[in-house]
Amino acid sequence: MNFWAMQTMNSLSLGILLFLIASGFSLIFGLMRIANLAHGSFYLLGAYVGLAVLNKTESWPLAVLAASVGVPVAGILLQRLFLNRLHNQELPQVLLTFGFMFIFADLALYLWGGTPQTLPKPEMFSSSVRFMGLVFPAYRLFVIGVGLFIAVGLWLFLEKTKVGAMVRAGVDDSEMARAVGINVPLIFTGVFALGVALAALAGVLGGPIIGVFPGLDLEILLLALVVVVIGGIGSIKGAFVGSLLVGILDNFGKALFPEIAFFTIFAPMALVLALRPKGLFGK
Amino acid sequence: MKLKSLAVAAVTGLMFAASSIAAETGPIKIGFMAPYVGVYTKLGTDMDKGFHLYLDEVGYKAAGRQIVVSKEDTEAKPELGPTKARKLIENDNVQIIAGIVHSGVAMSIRDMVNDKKIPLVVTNAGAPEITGAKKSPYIFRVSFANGQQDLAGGWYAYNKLGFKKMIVIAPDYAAGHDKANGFMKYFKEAGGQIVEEIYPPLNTNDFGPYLTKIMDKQKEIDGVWAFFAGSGSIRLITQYDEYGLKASIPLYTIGDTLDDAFLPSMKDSAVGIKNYLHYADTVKSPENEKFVKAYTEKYKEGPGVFSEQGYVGAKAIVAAIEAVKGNVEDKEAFIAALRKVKFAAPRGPFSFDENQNVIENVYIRRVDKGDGKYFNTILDTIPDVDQNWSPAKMKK
Amino acid sequence: MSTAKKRISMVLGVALLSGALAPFLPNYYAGLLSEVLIFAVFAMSLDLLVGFMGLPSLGHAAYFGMGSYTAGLIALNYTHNIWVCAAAGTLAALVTALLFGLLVLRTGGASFLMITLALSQILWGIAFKWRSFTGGEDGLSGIARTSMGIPWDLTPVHGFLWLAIIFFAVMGALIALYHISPFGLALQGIRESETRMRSLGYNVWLYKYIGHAVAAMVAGVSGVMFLFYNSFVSPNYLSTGFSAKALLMVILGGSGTLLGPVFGSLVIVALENVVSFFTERWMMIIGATYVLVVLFFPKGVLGSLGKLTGRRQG
Repeated sequence: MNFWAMQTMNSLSLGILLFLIASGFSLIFGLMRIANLAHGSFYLLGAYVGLAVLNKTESWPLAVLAASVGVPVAGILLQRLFLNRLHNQELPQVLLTFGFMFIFADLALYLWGGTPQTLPKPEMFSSSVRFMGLVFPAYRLFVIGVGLFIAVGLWLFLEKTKVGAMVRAGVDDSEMARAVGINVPLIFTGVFALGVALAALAGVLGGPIIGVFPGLDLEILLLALVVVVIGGIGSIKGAFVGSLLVGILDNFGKALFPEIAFFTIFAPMALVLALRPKGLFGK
Repeated sequence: MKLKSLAVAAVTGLMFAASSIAAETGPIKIGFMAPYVGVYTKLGTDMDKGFHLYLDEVGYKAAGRQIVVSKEDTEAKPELGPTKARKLIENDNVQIIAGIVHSGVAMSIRDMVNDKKIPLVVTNAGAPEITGAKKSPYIFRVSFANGQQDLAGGWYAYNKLGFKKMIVIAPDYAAGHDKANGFMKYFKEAGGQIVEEIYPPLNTNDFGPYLTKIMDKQKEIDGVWAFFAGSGSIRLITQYDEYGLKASIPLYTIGDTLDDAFLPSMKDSAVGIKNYLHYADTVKSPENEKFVKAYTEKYKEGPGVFSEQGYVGAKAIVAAIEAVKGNVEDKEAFIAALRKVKFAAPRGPFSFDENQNVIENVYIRRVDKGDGKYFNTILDTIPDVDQNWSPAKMKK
Repeated sequence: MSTAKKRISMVLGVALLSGALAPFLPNYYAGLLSEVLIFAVFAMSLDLLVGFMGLPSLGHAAYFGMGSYTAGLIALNYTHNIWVCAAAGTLAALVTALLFGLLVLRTGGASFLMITLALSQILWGIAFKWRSFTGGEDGLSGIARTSMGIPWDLTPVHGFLWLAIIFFAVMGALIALYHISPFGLALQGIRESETRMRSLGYNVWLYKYIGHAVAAMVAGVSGVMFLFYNSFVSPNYLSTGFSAKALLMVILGGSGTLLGPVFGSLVIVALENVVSFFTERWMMIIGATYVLVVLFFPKGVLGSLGKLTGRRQG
């Protein structure tokens, strides 16, 4: 019993982290049809910025703030100065983000070196929670909590607010939205910044669990891609379901069938591709 | 006519003699291959620092000849091995190659150095084949073979530490399996039982599912053996503590998992864990104290195991150069001299076995905390451990 | 037919130039030239998807690596005859493409890119894990070059370079002809407008399926060449890194052109080996160059030079 309960908790914490990573990617792709291959890079930068702030100040709120506000600045520059020049050219835009992946990776290597590092956890969540014979790291519960909070917040934002409605309008038909007076370029920049902020925040939150090191950007990108392929492109609900599904499959797969641990993430993806190419909730 | 051809012959002969003399007083060129980017960067740069520290000590000179080092970045990518080695050998005309972190890189240039008769002194890459099935008279290794220290460590676990039933966890790649097999060999032979073997994928971030499995079996075991390196080690040690396992099931690991360089990241989660390795910066010997002091002064940080390996590689090469009085061009004599090299290294006594792999001490260590710092205290020593060590080889 | 002659002569021109240089190049540079020529063919095969069919792939190394591994396993276990190994490698790449094609051709654009990325990662994972068969992370080494099947010794660097030059000339000429063949022209029509081609009666999916397989086969045979060049294969041959390198070459040189990928290969191999001598930040330089090219020379360097280089038919 304990085994199953613990594994489910593990799945949840992994799944929520995946959601934070994938939702940012899905938003940008859904709205602007840009597959931002530098998404993993923003995760990486968020983690490094968070680490730098934590090393200097040991303040978690400050680290989160620095990452979620600082890294999107780079994102906005990327979007306004570079991606905008390739307006509506889907493929060149993707290729552009691809080049930036190299630039960001080398920048990170230059600034922070090649040694793998781990972010320290916040003091109040650095112990374990014991509950009915189960032992579970408090920090992971924190991640689950934050993730759910953000998921709900995102949903409320998109479904219930005026700005959210404008975003959805932009997704459905940006020409019409413009015609109706919605400042589409501003919305685009805003959403891009939001997507990047989510990735950077995920970097800080995931830092104590996953760590940060060169090459992580590609690993994270791959995870985001798998979730988005399974859940469906452009759908936040799809990203949520896809993330949890991948979290569960990955965890239980590793625990029950360790020989094929590597494939527990990719096999479902191949399956979805074969049976339902648009993903579970794809548009 | 005859006088002219005689003169030509004489001049040619003199030129020949001059060039061969020049060859023997020109610089000795060593190529150093290591990763300077990527996940193994620290290992590469540490090796490089140690290597140059020793050369600095001897003023970059041996037997009256100057020593020049050209370095090539392998990025720890095996497919770059042949290209970089070719550059060093064909373009830079090196006479000796040293370094290499990644076993794949070493394997990828094995045939090249063997066929071209270039002595290769490996200062890390642990694949047993390098001094085993694929050995070559030109390849030497000063670091360890995967599984070497574990042969002794496994024996020690059962006979001295009282572990009887363990779970083994290591990453699913050649080194992980080789080290695990090394550990299990004499542990099982002595009567120990391995309840389960767990091999997570190499870049596992989240050990949750595996630690939960271990928790599930905690009543069946009295210890867990683990090998993980780099960021994997940080994550394993901290997560092992987070899941409450540290308190209930003792960990016993190979020292890679508790590398001095990463102890600050692991903090208290590492304290108290026993582990074994062929080196610790706390080894009490004049050579080590001198080494640690010089390294710290030059580089403003303490040396790690990779630094020491680089240092010893350089020392072995220089010792051999001195033994052949600088005539590295006579390759057979040079490698014969390398085989006989013996000295006191920072890690302890150093020599090569008949496969040209190192024979070294294995130290049983424990992570301790003091003065706000984390370090490995040495508890015990098993001497003369080689790639094919067995308990029978121990002198009683 | 003059277009065909022109294109073939462009390819042969590059081959002849290489041949002229070859005897004078020291071993290290001769090796690099072989690498440039092999990657040129690999990049050209990727362009058969990217520029030619409008399908951006970040997983093309899957086919390259399958060629390498298969050839390596044949060489280690059965025969070193380079023709047999090449045939086996190409066949393996083909079979993989026939399988993957069923999954990836349902999409296009960025989705295609992401899916090819993920699929090649699966192969990488298999190569990494299946140690008993593939040697795992350490790969397969000690694969000698012999002269089985070829009338001269391939072991020395220059010996292999001659093979690489001939390989490039032959594959390049075949690709040049493929571009302007009826099948090739139909593929370009499909790239421009699938609906139009369908209304004209073409079985669009089948054409794409075959076109994808052809691109994979060429990648496979270049993988075989790379195996013998290094006498070695490791999971990295299947990795996103290799796919990305090829994509960089295509975009830099000019997608949709004949010699663009060749130029791209020269630039990237040079940057990797020479620039790294001067600065450690060569990765950033490659990334920045690439970004500039995408922004200001969207047709790549050669594409922007237009007519001189045999741009694709309009």
